[in-house]
Amino acid sequence: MGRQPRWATAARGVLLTVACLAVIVPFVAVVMTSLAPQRDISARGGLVLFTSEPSLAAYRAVLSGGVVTRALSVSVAVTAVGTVLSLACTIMLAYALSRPGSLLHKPILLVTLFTLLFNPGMIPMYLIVKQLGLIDNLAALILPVVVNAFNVIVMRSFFLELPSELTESAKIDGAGELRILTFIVLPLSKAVVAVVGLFYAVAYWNAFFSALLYLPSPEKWPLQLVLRTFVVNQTPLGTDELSASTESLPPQASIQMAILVMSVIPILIIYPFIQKHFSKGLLIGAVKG
Amino acid sequence: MSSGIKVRPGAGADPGAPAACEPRVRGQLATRWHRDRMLLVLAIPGVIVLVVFHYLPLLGNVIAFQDYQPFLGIRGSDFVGLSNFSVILDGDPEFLNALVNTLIITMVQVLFVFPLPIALALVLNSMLNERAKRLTQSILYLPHFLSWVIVVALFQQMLGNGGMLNEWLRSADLGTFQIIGVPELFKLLITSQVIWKDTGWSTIIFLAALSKVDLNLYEAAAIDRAGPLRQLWHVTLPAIRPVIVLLLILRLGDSLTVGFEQILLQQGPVGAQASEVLDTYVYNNGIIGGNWGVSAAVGLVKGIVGVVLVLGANRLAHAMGERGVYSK
Amino acid sequence: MDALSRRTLLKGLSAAAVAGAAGSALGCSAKTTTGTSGRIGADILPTFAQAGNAEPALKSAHPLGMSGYFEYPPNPVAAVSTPPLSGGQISALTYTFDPVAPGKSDNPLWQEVDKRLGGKLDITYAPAADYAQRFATTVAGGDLPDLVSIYGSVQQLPALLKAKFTDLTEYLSGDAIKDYPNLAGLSTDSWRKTVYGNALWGVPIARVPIPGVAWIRADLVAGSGLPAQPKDIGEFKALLKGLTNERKSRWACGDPGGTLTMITAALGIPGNWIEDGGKFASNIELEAYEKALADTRELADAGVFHPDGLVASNNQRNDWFTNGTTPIVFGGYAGWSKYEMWGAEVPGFKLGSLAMFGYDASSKPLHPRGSAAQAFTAVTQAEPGRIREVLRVLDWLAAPFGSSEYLLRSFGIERQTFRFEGRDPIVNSRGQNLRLVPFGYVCGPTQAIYDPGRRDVAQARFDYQEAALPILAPDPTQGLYSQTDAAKGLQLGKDLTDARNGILAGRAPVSSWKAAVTKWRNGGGDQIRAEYEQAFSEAGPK
Repeated sequence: MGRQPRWATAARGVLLTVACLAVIVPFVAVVMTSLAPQRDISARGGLVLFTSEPSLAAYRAVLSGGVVTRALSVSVAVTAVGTVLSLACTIMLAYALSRPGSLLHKPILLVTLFTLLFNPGMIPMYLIVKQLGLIDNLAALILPVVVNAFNVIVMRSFFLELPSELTESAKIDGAGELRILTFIVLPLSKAVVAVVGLFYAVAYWNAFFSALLYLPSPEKWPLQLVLRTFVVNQTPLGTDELSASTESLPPQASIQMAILVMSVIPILIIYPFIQKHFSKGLLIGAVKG
Repeated sequence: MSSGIKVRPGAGADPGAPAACEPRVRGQLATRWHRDRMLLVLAIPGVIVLVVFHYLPLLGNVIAFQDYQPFLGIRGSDFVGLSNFSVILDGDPEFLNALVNTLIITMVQVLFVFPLPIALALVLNSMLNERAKRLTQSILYLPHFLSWVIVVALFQQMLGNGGMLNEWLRSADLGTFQIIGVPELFKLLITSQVIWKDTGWSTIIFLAALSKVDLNLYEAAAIDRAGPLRQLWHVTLPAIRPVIVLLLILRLGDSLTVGFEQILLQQGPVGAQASEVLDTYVYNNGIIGGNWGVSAAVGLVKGIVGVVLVLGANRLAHAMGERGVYSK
Repeated sequence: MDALSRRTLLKGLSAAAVAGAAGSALGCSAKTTTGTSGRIGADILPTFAQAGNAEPALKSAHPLGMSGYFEYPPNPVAAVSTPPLSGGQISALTYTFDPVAPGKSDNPLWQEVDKRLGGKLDITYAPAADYAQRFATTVAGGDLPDLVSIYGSVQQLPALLKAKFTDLTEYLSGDAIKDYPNLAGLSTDSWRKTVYGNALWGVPIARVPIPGVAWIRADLVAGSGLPAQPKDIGEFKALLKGLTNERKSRWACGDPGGTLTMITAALGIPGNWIEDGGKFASNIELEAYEKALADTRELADAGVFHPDGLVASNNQRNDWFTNGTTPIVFGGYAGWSKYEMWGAEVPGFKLGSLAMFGYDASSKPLHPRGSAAQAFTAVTQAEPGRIREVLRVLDWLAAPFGSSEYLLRSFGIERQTFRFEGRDPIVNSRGQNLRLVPFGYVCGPTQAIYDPGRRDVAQARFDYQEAALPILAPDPTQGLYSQTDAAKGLQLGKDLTDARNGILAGRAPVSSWKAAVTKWRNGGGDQIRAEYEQAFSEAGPK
């Protein structure tokens, strides 16, 4: 990419460092607060930037009892299965829409597009899910959102960017659509597949409202909904007014922040594996040759 | 530099070719069916999902014309004509204020927030140190995963009038820096929150687009002695322009929607005049009491406006020689 | 913990919650639905009879009051002699304020409850903040469980109850309640919340109607040389101003709204509606209310409120309280032991409470009133035998403090989930999780004051209750239903809160309040008034 002027490099460095600090400082506060004892939180009146005696009490409190661990496995399963299904449907639909002028192309495209603009109401959605017998079934967390029009349209636009000579020549060689998709289009589209896959995975991972409505049994709830019950209800672990426990519970603020950290960690773990597919330049020329 | 065009041959090819052959083929349904049936098969699963989980429940939007009560159901609820629409159609000055606020915020965000991830993606892309580049990106995308409640609390604890910054300023006798709770600065506040939260995350799509740029083109450009700016203009930007246009059109379709939860959380201290937007107005004037009909009615109107905006923006894109969301 | 206090005390995480947080913890705009007039539903209410025979250490002088205990009564016996079910299953939908409990298959406590019930009690639940959505979809879907919590504001409630649930009047009214002796121990005021159209529609989740307390850091006040308990508005203002030192980042209080409520109470203004000879007036319409607004504005101008006070969540305000940034906070009465817990790590922390004071020598102060019932549990339509079975299960769940049922429900199984230390059952960490099943939000007894190992805390809670109950603000709308209030009450309340915040933030003059009240009247306030007046006259003695 050639040489860059020194002042540009320096300016870029300063800019990015400032931006990173603006993110890192609050995040350090979040992590530190999750580890802090009540004394530090009380002294600071909220977030703490440094704690002298970090403890995992908040994490232990959230993880005790096995409910969160079970919810974690539900979330992992739903995210994994959902992302795979979503990618399959999205790739197929996006590919089907990547040939302007094909039969029913425009109607299908508009049908897809308009789902972005009109939202079905909560109650009609519930009734459909119920009619399909999906209440209390984990599939209810996946099927209604398995195709997201935004992702279809983004992926389609990447497909459209591919050199059409590639598909044309493959067709002349007698390759069917499925072959072209699998062996020519997809290998050239790792970046967008990774990005769209990430979008889906994050959406599945973060979703709690569908579980709230469609899953009456709390044993089936995914992580985000279970964690929400710690945060939204704001009662640390059953310190009901009837609490007979004299042991001191971890402070509320650290539980909240621990929950935040816990819900971000899985994404932090998988992110680098996805990132490498879209952050690096790809030598299209080499593939073409 | 001519090679710059080759980066997006698809864009050059697709509007022309089919349009040229369409008149000929239109009559020949059988031929087209034969040619495209596999594409239709591939579309089936996705289309079925969209029909079942979007269009079927959309029929339920008939409650926009009802005094809908869950225990009576759609069949048992009374039809009330257009009265659910009155919340947005009766020209109440407070509604107009909310609409104006919404449009201002949308405009500010399209002008100042939308370009930022593009710029950031370009900056990241220009970094030669792969590891530093990935690390930076990994850090900057993090705030996306914080809920608005947390973001609002963080801003308050850092920048609030009693927050860390001002506490320090006060102890040093430097006066205070007030942005939170000041009506005039409310739009600036929420815009900076959006920038902080989502700029890093939004780069992902542009980075993906940039990753497709043929590196050979840069080499060719370098041999042509093209400077960084010319490389940017002739090699990099053309590669991501279709994505930019596409996202811009979709954003415009959403013009009437600006950060509902974010704003609702922070309305208290600045008041409605400065902070009410369409979604919060509708929420505060109908939905808050559990009025399903109003919620559906407003959804319909917003959808229709969205369709008009998307179609309009798309036409504009065509006029400027872009492909847009769909082709002509 | 009580819904009202917990919601207002610890609110702030969901969008809906924020909008609902119009009132302060003291319940400025909190909807109050019980009163003292006693005429609503008088001919159908169940006859009260004390349940259980545990002798309290502190016995309340007030019919709504909780008894206080310093230890769990020895040798607890069963309050219900025969299991209410003979096989079969009862299903319930309710809300919870707690984290998710381990499911029944992993929960020996729940299994033991089933065993003693003689059948299965299956409970599904949603976080209280999300309950409205869960409730609406469940109702729309049509398959209702046997028991459904009616919690929060519900549209067309009387018609909904009539369409889907059981009129329980013949089962529970008057002396019929004697079949369910534990339910008979729920306060009469709490039953009023279940009355619609002169019929009983459910079993209340009874609470003592004290919504909030003005907490004060006694240790910080002691150092200031100010009188810790103001006797009139002048001393109150002096206290707030004296506690403020902006240079040191210290403000008296983080909650202007709560302060306003404190001052209205000092003026003797109730929290909501005032009835006089069948005519209703809202507190916000009074001259005196505007006077209270002016006083609060004066305090705001004097800088006694934390500069982020109006934007802060109650969580944040509680943090300011414990770290001394604001030595006064308005919080839930039920959160008493929690403040003690938070403060335990702070050197010198001493929790105090401000008693209500009169505005001047001539005024009689009130204590804001909360709801005597957090929610109620309705019974889905079924044949009478089934209804009786379901009510027997509710009666079992309502077994009072001191009974073996209560011990099981609240503490679990001895040696598995708790052990006795002296006379106090101490729950272990496993028990802390297992007992999170929201039995208490399906049905529970009158609450008791019991802080194991903290006799001083129990005594302080009890003393506060005994001082507050006699001066509790009246509420004539108890047992009355106004559809406009249900549909537009929150919205109207939000508008008023906006107007109030505008004044307290210094954006608008106090005189702008009149316009806000006019808007409120035209926007639905007058309509609500008319509906209450009509309901009031219809419900009167025949």
